[in-house]
Amino acid sequence: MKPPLFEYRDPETLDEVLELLAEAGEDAAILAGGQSLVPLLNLRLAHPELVIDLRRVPGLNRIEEEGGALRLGAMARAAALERYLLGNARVPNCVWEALRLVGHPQIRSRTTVGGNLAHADPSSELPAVFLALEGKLVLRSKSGGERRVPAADFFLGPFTTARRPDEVIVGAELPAFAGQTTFLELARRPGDFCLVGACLAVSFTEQVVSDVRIAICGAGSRPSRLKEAEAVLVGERLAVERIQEAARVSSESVSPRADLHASAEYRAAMVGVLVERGLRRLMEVPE
Amino acid sequence: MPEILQSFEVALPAETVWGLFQDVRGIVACVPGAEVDEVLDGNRYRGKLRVKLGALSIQFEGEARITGLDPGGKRATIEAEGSDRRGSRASAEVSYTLTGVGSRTRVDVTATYRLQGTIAQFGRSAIIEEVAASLTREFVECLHGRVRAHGQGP
Repeated sequence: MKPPLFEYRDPETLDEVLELLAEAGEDAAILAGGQSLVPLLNLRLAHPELVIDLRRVPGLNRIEEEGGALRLGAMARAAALERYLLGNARVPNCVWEALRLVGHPQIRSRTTVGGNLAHADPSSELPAVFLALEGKLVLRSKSGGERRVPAADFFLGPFTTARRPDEVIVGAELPAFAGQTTFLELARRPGDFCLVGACLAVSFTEQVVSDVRIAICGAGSRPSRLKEAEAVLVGERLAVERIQEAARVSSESVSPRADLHASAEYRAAMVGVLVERGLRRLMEVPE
Repeated sequence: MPEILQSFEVALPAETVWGLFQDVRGIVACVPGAEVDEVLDGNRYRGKLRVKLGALSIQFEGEARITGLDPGGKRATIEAEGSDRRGSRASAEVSYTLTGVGSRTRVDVTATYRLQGTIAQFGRSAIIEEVAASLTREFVECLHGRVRAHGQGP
C-alpha cells in the first residue's frame, strides 16, 4: 500500500522543526525512525498534512552516560544503544534486556528512543523501562521552551501521551539504579508485539528489600507500575513465598483485554508468571 | 463481538431519566468525537465519529437509528454504522435499560461493535477494545453528569 499525499520537510535545525510544529500542530506528524509511523501511513490510518523528518537535525542521536545514568537524544537508535550497553555494568541491565526485545534487529537499526516513547504503544518495552527506572522525557516547543516530564505522567493511553501537538521529544533521561534490574516478556514469536512484558528493579539493604519497582506493558491501555505488588515486597526478605504473593497480587491488579493472540485471563496470569520469574532472577543475583 | 458494560445510579425517578434520554442531540454530545449532521426522520440521524490516537486518526461517517424504543420497559437500542473514506468500516449497537430502584434509577448501558477493513487489518484488537471501552466510559460518565445536573442530586 502507498501512503496518502503529504508534504515532507526535513529541516536542518531544531528551531525550524519547532517553527513548523507551531504552525501545523495536529496536522503534522514527526518522523524519527519510521518503524511505526510509516506502516500507519501506508495503511492510511495516519494521514497527516505534513511529515517533519528529524534525520538532519544535528545532535539528536547522542548517547551520554554518567555513572550509569543515561542522557539520550530522541534520535538515538535502539541498535546503537544496544551496542553501547553491551558489557556495560553501570547502566541498569533491564535497559539492554528490553532493547533486545524491541522488534527484530533490522527494526532496531531504525527504531529511535524518542520515536518509540512518542508512539506509546501499550505493549512497547521501553515505556515500561522508563516507568520502572523513573525516567524523564525532554520536550521542547517554540512557545513553551523546554520541559521535563516524568514517564509516570507521560503515557496516558494507547498511542496517547502528554506531548502537546506543538512539542517534539528532544531527549530522554534514565537515572542509575542502585540495585538489580531485569526485563522479561512473553510473545508469540520473537520480535512480535509482546502479550505482556515486565520490568523489575529491586535494591536491598542487608538482604531486606529497600526499593522495588514493577512496571508492566501489554496488559492495559498503557504501561503501568504495580504499586500494590511492590508494597508486598518492601521491607521484606525476597523469599519464595513473598515472591509468589507479589506475583499473585500482580495478576489480580491488572485488567488486560483479549485479542486473537491471548485471552484477558491468560494475560493476567502471565503477568504473575513474569513477575515471579523476574523476582526469582533478581533474588539469585548476589549482593 | 466485544461487549462493553457500564452502569450508574442517579437520585431521580426513572420517568425523568427516560425523558432526558429522548434528547438525541444531548446524548450524542456525550459521545467523544461524535456529531449529528442531519436528522433524517424521527428515528434516523446522519453524523460522524472522529477518533484520534496519536498519529492514527479515523473519521467514520454514517447513520444511526433508534430501534427497539420501549417506553414501558424503559429500554432502547441505538444502531450505528459508518465508514471512513480510507477503507475502515464500523458498526455499533448501544442499548440502555433504566430500572427504578425506589426513587432512584439504575442505568445500564451495553455497547457492542464490529470493525472491518483497514482498522481491523491493523490487527491490534486489544488496543481497539481499550479505546472502545474508554469511549463508552466517557460517554456514560457524561450521561451521568447530565442527568445529575438536571436533578442536582448525587
